[in-house]
Amino acid sequence: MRQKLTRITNKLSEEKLNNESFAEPLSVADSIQDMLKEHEVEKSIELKKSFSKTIQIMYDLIISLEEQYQKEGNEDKINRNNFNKIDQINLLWSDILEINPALNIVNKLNYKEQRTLLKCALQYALKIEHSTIPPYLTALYSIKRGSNLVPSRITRSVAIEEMLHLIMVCNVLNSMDMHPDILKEKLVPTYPYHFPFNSENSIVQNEYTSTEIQNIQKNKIIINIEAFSKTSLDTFIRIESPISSMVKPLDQHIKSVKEKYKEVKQKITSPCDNEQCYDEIIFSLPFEKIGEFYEFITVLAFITQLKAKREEKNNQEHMNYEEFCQRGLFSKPNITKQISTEQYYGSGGQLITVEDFHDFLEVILEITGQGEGTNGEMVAPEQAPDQDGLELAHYFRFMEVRHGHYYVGGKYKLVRGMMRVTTRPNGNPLKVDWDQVYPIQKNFKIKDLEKIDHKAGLKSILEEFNFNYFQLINYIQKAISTEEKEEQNNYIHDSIQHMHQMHHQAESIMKIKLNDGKHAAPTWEILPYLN
Amino acid sequence: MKRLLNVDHRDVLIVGTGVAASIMAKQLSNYQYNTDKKSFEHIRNINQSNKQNFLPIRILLLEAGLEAGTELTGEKANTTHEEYLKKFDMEMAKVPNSPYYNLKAAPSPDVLDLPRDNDLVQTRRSSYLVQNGPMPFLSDAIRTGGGTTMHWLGSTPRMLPHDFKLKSTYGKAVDWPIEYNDFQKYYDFAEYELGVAGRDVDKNTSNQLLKEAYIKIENGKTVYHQFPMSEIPMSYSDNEIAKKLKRKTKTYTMKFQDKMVEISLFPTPQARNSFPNKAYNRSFKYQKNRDKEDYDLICEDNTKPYTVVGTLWDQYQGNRCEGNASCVPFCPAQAKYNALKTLKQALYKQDQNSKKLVRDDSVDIITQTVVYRLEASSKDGTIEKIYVKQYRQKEIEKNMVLDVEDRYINTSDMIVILATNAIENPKILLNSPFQEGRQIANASNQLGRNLMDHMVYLQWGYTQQPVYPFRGPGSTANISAFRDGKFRSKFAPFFGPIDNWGWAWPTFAPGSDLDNLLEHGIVGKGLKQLLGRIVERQILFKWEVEQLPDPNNNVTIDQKYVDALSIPRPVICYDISNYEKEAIFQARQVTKNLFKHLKIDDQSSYDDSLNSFKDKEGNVYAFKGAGHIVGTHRIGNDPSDSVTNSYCKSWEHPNLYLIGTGSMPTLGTSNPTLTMVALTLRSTESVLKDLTIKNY
Repeated sequence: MRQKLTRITNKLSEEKLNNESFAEPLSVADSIQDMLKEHEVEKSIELKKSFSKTIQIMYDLIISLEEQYQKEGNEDKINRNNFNKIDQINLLWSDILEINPALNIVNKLNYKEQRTLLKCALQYALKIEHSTIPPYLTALYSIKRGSNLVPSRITRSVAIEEMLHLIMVCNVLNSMDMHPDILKEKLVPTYPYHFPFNSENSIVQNEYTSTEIQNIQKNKIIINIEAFSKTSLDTFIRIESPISSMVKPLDQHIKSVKEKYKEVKQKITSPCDNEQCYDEIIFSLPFEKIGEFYEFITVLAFITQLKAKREEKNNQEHMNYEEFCQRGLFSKPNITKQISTEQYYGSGGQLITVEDFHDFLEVILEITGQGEGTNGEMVAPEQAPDQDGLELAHYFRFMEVRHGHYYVGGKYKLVRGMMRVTTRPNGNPLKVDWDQVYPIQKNFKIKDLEKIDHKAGLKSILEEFNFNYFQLINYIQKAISTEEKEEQNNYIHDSIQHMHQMHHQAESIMKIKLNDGKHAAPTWEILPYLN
Repeated sequence: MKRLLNVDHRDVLIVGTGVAASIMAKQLSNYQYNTDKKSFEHIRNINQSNKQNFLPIRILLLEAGLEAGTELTGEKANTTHEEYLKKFDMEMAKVPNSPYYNLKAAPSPDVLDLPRDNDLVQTRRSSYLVQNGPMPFLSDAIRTGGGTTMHWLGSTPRMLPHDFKLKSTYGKAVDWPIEYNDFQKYYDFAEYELGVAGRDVDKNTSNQLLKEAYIKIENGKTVYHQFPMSEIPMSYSDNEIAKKLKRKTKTYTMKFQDKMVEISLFPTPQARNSFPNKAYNRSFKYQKNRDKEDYDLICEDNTKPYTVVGTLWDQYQGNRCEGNASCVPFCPAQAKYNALKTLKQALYKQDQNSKKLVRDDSVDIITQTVVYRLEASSKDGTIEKIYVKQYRQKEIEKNMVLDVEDRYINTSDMIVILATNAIENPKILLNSPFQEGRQIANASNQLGRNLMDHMVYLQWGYTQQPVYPFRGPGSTANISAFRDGKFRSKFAPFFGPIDNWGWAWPTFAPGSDLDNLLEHGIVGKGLKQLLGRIVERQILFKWEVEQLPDPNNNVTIDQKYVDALSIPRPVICYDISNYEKEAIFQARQVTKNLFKHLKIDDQSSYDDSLNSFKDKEGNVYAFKGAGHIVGTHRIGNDPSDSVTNSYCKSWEHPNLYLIGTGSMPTLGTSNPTLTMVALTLRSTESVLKDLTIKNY
């Protein structure tokens, strides 16, 4: 035990947390480059004031429809024809298409095709979420026990929340009666994993030219299995990069998007038509950030739901928000197959069971909000009541570890009250001991054992670990595939048991030195166990 | 020269930060005095507009242990946890106190200090407790932030209705000054505060004792019982035993005292996080009676689901028991309740607007401060001063040097609540002279007397099929069949929690098995396999036997024996009577029958030692301590034979409360923490009343 000699707890840091202003605006830019940057930033602020421009526009679309409806004082239904007459809405719609060109394709699909595309996209989202878990856990396991308490806690919390996201995507798939398959061969990430998104965190382009797309692709993130280090954290930060380049600093409370949506219990009609479809397109869609991918999914689901509802309602009636949300894509929501809220614990956020479109939106907001912040805020959507301090989105949590400072208590340069997301935290110090980490081999593989002096038993421990991880995922897969609640609970318990074993196993692997002074590492190779 | 310790103005001073202290501090911190209505109201009812009419209760807690032990948030709390874990890992003997620090300035009783070579006198030099025999007192406690809940098991069964009426039902010991039916709501509240996981008790419950203890009659209506969280699943070994005790619908029965008794396993309620119970919808508050200063505990329906309390540093961690088998002494997941969780709720409140946790300035802790004496006014008995020794530890060339200051606090305007364990509370008071050569709060001459513990009688054997001990938490189920019955007029009842730790307690398995195999030259894979095969069939039964209060079992002090701060150490006189011995003989017979039915190969054997005794045939029986240190300042209705009234308030001193397990007049067969917390929650009513009368 520490020989703490002072008698009264030093309350300073806690008081700071609660009372002090988090950010103080500085009006002077550091350099000409900064000034230029700020100029560009300002131009884009208006458009990107929300976390998601597409969703924002979609929201505006709903609002203007409502306004239009009220203006006309029309108690009759607004059908597709008179909707098309409204120029303003057409304009908004073309805005969406312009920002997210992938939607041009969507626009031309019929319902069945759209649904297939949506399924592809959601399955792909499973892979995306899955791909972050091994690297985050590897970084966590590589930290020597008892050291780096705060960095461990942060990394652990993010890893668990990624598992939450994985499960919630499964819930969404089940809610649309699309069988989620985490262990489909194509969807199992292998490392180094070429993450399909970029994170050049500057100004979001309004348009994609082919050169730009090439550029983006060139800069795609490569996710390695490597130790907790500045390099790995840089990768994590890129993975979790927010869409918007500006956020509100911590002390400015604004209404969350979630609340906004709850206000929108409004009438809605259908905006689009369809023609043809390409369902493999999803894999070549040019997204910049994960957030944009989820935006795409959201809009796609929105359009598909509209289409389904229109067919259901025989192209005639208008419908209110409640009606719009129910049935359609969600006519068989498979609630029993979904994992429910009491089955999730261990980190922030909440597990949402999806019954209709509104729940679906909540899932998307939870996933994107936890990852990169919501609506231009740094804070995750669900703030736990009993939590010390604030629960930041993953991006900002990793930024704090990477730079060894909390945001809280720092001074930041603001532009119109907003802070650039690339701003480094400079508040209270956060102790990071980069040396208290096992120096593990990057992207270690079982076949690498051939190249080095064979370590007796190492292969079997590596295989044990991989099988254990496979079982963890396998039991989750079983849990999301069964209709029996008790069976599902047992599967979840089984999968958690495997998770608990992994830390110990990883630790014993990482203690083993290889020839070159590097240490062994879990290889996360689960493909051999499929089928 | 003793100097004044300036503590600003305080309304309440609590000694200790263990479970009783923390529960009391949290409750009082939740109430503020409404100067208009002249009553205390829960802070839930206070909003921005009427804020100015409310006054908080200013509370000071004094803790003997190190400051690091009371870190309640963030990295500091996490660091302390890691340090405990590290110490636990490093210690050779994994005893209850091994993760914690036995401080030179505030030493703790430790099971490792128990008599060696059967010599009590020899032991006195090394141990904190001065054992005066004839039998050794076998239980330990820890003096650190959070108290002994840092190492407790977490089992929270209730006492039974007959336990409160021992004298009138069975002619033994004393009755409690509280009616069981009136006490049930405090049990409910205690289960809420500790976060108890258990199986609901309703019309389907087969065990009559449980029905009597849990089901209430309110306004003529039967109210079934829900726990805040669903039961902790029974361990593999418990399930294996349960299966053998129940064939189809037929429950195993055994002849006991000329009656056939059904034996079955029931999940033990325990303060360990599991899944929140959806059906649980209670919330509690104290409310002042109209036109009187009295407060009553009110139970209300609550629409909010029960919130699981996580670790101190991250509320998302420790939300479910992870099945680590090291509950005593240390829950690595922190899913097991400890008093620091409550203490944190006393010191930090959620801001209604920002939802952030904010430090409550009206509650403070001063650590490394050892209370050793009280001083009372000769006029009306008011406790006017308490004396403390404050220490700082300095490590000089590996020697721990203490820097000590003697101080006092003026307490005339405060309510003083002694909330340490049942050895420390009397130790402080017996060191506080009052009138006529006696001590503070000791007009009844019962102070320090009636020390009790459960006699733990262990029996162990090999099962035929593997039962895989160490899977899951320490103890998940129990046999309640012998907790009550007419036999209590002849011998003590006994409670049978089944441990999930193989033979760890009686034989130090699996370590001893490993030594044994190594001695036989077995190594490598063979060793691993053989060890596995031995350990997987080890099972331990234990009976916890109720001990009756005996004035000769007591805590005293003797100026000959002092600690490093020159504070007298507790001197313990302890013995067990034929009433308890007979129960152990009976329990032996019960186990024999059970083992025969369960086909367990009995391997129990006992050494002739200080804590053993023999039956007429010369068979040796030995018992262990349960860590249930109870009964040195019992509550009662009569000032001549009790130390406090039923609200734990001293009969003689208007501003003194003695809370903790010391308050219990009898022990029953249940683990005492839950009952003690319920008593504390009942005392709170009286403290609020006193504060109202004081009327600011």
